[in-house]
Amino acid sequence: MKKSLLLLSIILASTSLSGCQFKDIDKRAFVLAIGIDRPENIEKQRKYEVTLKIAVPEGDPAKRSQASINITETAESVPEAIRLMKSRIDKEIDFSHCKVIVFGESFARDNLTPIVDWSSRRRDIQLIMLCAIGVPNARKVIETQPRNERLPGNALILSLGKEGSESPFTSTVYSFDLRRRVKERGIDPIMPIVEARNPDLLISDKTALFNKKKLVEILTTNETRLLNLLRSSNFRTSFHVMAEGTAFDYNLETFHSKYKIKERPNGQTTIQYRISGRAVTEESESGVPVDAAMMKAVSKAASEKLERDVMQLFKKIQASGLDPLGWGLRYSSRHWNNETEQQDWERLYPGLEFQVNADLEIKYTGMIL
Amino acid sequence: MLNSKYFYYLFLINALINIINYVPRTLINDRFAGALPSIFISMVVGTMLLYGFAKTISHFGGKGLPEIFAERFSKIISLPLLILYSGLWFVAGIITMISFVDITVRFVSPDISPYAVIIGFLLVVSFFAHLSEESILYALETLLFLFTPIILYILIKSLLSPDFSWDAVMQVITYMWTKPKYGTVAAGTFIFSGYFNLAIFNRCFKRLNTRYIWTIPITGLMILLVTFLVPIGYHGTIGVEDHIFSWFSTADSIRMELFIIERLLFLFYTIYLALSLVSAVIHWHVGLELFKGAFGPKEGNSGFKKADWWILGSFSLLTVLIMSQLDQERLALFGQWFLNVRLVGEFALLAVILFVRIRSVKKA
Repeated sequence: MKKSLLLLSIILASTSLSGCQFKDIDKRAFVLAIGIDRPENIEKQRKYEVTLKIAVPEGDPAKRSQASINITETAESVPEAIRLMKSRIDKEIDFSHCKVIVFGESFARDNLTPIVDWSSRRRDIQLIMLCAIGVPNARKVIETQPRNERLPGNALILSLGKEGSESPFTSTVYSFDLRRRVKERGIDPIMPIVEARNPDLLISDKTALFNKKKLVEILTTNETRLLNLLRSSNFRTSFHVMAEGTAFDYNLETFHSKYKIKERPNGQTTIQYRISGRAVTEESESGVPVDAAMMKAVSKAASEKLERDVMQLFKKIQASGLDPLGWGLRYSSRHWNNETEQQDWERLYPGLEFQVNADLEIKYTGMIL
Repeated sequence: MLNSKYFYYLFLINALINIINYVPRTLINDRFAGALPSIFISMVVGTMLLYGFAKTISHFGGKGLPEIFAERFSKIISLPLLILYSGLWFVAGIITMISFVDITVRFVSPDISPYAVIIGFLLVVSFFAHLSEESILYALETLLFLFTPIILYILIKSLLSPDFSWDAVMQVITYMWTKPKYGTVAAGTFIFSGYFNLAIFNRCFKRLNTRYIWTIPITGLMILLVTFLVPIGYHGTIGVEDHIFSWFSTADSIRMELFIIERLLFLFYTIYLALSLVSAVIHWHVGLELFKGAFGPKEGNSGFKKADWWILGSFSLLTVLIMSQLDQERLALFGQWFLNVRLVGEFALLAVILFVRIRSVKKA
């Protein structure tokens, strides 16, 4: 009797604890992508324009619709804009499924750091969110809905990530990586650029280079491909090359790149890249059969062209004063004089020399000679 | 009487739970000022403490600390000593629980009151802490069998990811020749502290087999290096210092493209929820038995039931009180103070038990 009374009182008491505000799934609005811009209106230049793409949940799983809604709000800060949005939507805004954040180009050219702080501070925003720069602005990119999109926001997610198309022109950057690069000494942030084109096309084929705070330099499509090539191993892409008076296309099968920072006693520092890979000819433009001698010639021409192109990319990076590949971090990670290595690197950087050794080998000719 | 393998489980659970008890945070704060050499020092110190204690107590087969003390010391010495160590081990459980409440509220359900969570934890921990030693060890074995493979999977996944920055890890390694600090050594030795549970769990071992004890420094060193370096690989040498729970942020940075759930965080959270509760159960069980042992030798299971609940009840109340006083900053400070005090306590305990052993050898 006494025990059951005690039990009863515990159960009764626990009902008073359940004052928490747990909300059911049908009372939540799931955000799929965030876009952040500076307003175009000159008077509001210091404000933030936030665009959210929100999924419209369907009751019937068989009847998938692409429906989503986009809301835009302008306020003094991003959290403030989101509070304002709450008054415009009947459900609780939930960020736990948000997979993409897009920064408008004009915003990225100004100052990125408050948003990097905000997105990693909020506990419900993932650290594996994909980051991108939106051209002409983030709002256009978020609002674009390509016709081949099966789920709302999915086209953006698939083209930025690596699950869908593995484009060699897209640099995949997650938000933890962005934050790491913003904070770290000796490596600078990069982000892919997504361009919204009429009527409903999303193109991501360029890369933006940042200093710790803002966008400074944009790499062209070809430079983006080379940067991605150097950033990852076993990267799949094809290149076009001229050899023996005719054009060839080859496709990389395996690929490795590594580099060393060599210091000579006279103070000259060289970054030595060694690139090696195996490739297949994909096309011989004028139909010339690719025999052994030809394969050798094409390999040589391909290696030389790659060396030239990579060299050009390095010169461009050096001129911008940035470090997207993390050479500075590599330099200080291999030096034990921790007090002075930072200054040493800053002194060395403008005078760096590059050496690129490419060794591409065309091993196969495809199905025909 | 149980197989000696359970001793290694006691070591392993403490080693795995370190990420909840502020070990990575302490190490990462000093990553440019002595954390790495401290890891190697704490491996040596921790193994010495562990080996010394395990070897000595194995001579008292089937007896816990209260029984050993009762034979050799008068109550005036044994009572304060046992109460002190019981308090220390209760605090270990309290820190695990409070910081896990913090993690729960932060990552999983921010809308729930932390008091509701801690009351839930306290009910579970108190209920299981007064079970017998054997039941607790069997539960521990089951949980470790279930979760160690998943933890290994997470670890391998995290190390193989192309986003893992080995250069950042190397950069921290270049800070090897810095002066170690007491605080970081104390944090590092926490990994090896699982042996302390033998103070009570020795009751289950007739004669502890220390044949495989050489595996412990190796495993311990690996766990320490992983604890310290993997968050740096993911958040960079500078960015890592801002994360309160560096390992939970790290788990959130790892993606599983093609498995049950894309965000690894939730899998990681579930595993560590189970592990930290079982670790709190073990710590509280040791605390409880030491406390009871201070007032009298172990009697039949019947008469002491009521005392169990009074002790557990008052420590639960204390936990809620402590939690209400702590904010994030003070909780971290409290956690780090515990780590510091604990190491001194362990040295003292080793000295006491060696003293007892030498006396009993002389008498015999």
